[in-house]
Amino acid sequence: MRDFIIDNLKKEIADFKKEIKAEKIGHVLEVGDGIARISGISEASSQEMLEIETSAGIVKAIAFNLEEDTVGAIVLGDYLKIKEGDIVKPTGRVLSVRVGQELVGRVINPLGEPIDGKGPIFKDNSSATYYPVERVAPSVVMRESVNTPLHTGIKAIDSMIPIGRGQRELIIGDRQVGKTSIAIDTIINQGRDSRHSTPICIYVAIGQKESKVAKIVSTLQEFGAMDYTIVISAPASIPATLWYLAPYSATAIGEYFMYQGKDALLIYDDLSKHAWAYRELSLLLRRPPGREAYPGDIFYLHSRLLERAAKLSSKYGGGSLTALPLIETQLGDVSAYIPTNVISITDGQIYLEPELFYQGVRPAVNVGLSVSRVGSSAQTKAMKKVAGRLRLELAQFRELAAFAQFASDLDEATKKRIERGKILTELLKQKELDPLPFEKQVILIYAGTNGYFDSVAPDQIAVISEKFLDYMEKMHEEAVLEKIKESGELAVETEEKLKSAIADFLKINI
Amino acid sequence: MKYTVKQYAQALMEALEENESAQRNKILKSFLLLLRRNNDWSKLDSIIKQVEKKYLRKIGKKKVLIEFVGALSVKIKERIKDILGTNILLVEKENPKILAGLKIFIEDEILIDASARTRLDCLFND
Repeated sequence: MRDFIIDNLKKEIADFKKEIKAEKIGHVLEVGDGIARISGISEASSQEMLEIETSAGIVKAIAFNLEEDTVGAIVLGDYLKIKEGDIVKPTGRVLSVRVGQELVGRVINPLGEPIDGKGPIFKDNSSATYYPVERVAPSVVMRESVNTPLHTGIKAIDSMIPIGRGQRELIIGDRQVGKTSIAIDTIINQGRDSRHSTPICIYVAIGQKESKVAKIVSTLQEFGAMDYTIVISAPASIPATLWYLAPYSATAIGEYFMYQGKDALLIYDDLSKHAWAYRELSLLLRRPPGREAYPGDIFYLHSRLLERAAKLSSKYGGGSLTALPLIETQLGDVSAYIPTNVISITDGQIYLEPELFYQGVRPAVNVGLSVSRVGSSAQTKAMKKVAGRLRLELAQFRELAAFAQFASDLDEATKKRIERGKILTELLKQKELDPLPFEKQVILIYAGTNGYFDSVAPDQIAVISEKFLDYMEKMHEEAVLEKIKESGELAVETEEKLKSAIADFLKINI
Repeated sequence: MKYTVKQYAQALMEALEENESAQRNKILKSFLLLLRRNNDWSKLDSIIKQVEKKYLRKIGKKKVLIEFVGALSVKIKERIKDILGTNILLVEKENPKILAGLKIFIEDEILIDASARTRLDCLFND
């Protein structure tokens, strides 16, 4: 250690004369709430990194507001260290984060610094790669249509709201309805989906409690998901400037893997708090407030972020960046400003309804209001085959169930549809942290939509389906499950075997 | 109407130039009262800096502030003057925080940093 310092010092002393240069500087005029107003750096460009020399060392900032006489900057460190008159040096660079495979399995802050107590991330400084935090999204020629599925392991989503690699699918709902659970289940399932390569998962916690982030990390570790996951934490205790920065840093890291030809999955938990942080910064910078006091460019804030999710064409490596932003609604109001903005930016939304959650339908996905605009083209053929009827049957069930409340006498066909709807609803219920491989989802939904479980009482569906999966795994794994998994299709031959397997199972169990 | 620092500085400069030296104290008093009335007292420091800058520019001089540790030798002063020319207003300031070496500020806009403190900061931050 000592040798290293002395060697460096010797080198520095040898180069001492060469490195003295004249620099343009500015001065801090005022500082407060994570914002600094700086004079004298009229040539600074927007988003340029600034270094503020304080008595306690250098504090970094980003030039945000370029005004006539001053520059408004957002402070990335402890703004309490900054004093009026401190020297500010423009760096001529935009903010970048260091990227690399070494980040996988680590918990970092929005500046890319480790916060998990495991020491430095990068051991070798010789081939450092930096990606700018703000970057223009891939152009039209670089992209191709979404064509590979990203299985969440959640029956209701994989069957009716399929997500493709490179898609942007919003998860929206009130507080405490299971938005984060869906995101965590999706991450866990990526390690189990052997049909496709495991994407690098990046979970961004914006304004979350540190205890919640710690719990998520320990859950991911418990399920072995940290082997392919990076957690970026901008907890509630750090300034809003870093909340604002967190999703952009995470996207830069995701882009690194995408441009390497790999798949990456980004989860922004959540963008409502990100919008709050940007509103706070904008108001402190005295930008004019608009609707709900958000600044005029709040749409651009999220559109430029989510546009960076893409599926690259094979010419550009064929990598993908899938984005799952989360939005928290207030009392189910999806027509508020930020929810409508993000709904219009994304390629679909998974709407979680509190009423369903309290009725015990978990995950509380409202399949009527949820949609995936591009995912169906990426859906595995086997799933497409069995799930086509599922959506229709559930839609009919919802309509009839509402009508049946007022009708005393129902015909046999209607009664059957309502019963089938109840069974399918039960079949789609799933425990937390228990994602199901897609081949198992296929056989379960096949059995449900083809009426094999019609004679089972709805409250017994959970038990029966568990037994059924156990039976199939033990007795027909190679003949049915492996075939579906390998080919991704439900061929006629496999379907026949599945039919006879279900019949055998029902003979024993019902 | 809100006035910028530059506008205040320009107006003050012109008012001082247009009047005899006997009137200048009265003008300065009025200017301070105006600042207070316009709730712009916080801009006073910046205005003074601007006026100083404009005045020096007008008389063809540049303000050069040198920060150093201990006494600055005459030899070094002469060398600085040789390099920067004679048209400078040299201001000296002792700053032990820079540990060793010099920091030269030209018109508060350009910094030539030859301090040991900065070198050490760079060494340990890189």
